[in-house]
Amino acid sequence: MKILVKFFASCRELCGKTREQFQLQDKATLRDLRNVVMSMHPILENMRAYLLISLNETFVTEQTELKEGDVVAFFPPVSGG
Amino acid sequence: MLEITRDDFSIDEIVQKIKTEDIGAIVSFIGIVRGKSNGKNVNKLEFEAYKKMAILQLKNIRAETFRKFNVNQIAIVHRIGSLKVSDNILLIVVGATHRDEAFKACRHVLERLKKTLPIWKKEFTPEKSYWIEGETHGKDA
Repeated sequence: MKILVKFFASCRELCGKTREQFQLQDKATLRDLRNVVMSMHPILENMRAYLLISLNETFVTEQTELKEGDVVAFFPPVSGG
Repeated sequence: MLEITRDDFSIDEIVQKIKTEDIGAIVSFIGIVRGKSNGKNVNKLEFEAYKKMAILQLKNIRAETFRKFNVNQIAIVHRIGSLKVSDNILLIVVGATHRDEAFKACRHVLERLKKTLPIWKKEFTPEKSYWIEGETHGKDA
């Protein structure tokens, strides 16, 4: 299945792109996707402990299974306001 | 009114929209770009948003605040893009029957927003620029 990953703020700058498509096996979870993204962009490793990940604009657990067409976003802790 | 926008806002206009016959108190918070941060001069801030998610989060925060506090109206406007010193960043306006709930609800909206709203700030000093990253790790979201 195809999953679209968006990058924001420092994640976007570190990866050098705003979005990227990933191909994953059926029943892959958000954690599986994170590992694939980290292997493609090892520069994100030093953010691993506090990196935030959303699925279809919602915060979910990493055990959540993905499905075709899902949109996932990687970003650092928020700092608005 | 919930908005993520590049445009400045008119506080008067938003307060007028909030005012209804059942409102006896309006509390507002305005976040502004400071000229100094940790002793360093700041030239400007740049705000980036995950806009679609940010609007959803604003709706969640507003719904949660209505559940927790006896307030009648909540308006939130957060600006994005490049903002210079003294520019407005954020406006929260809460209308209630009585002041106590309005103050508490306004503070609640601000604290929730600072933890969960997917917006990021980049600070520009005369020497360099860097992302300001929040302290929350998403557990409160």
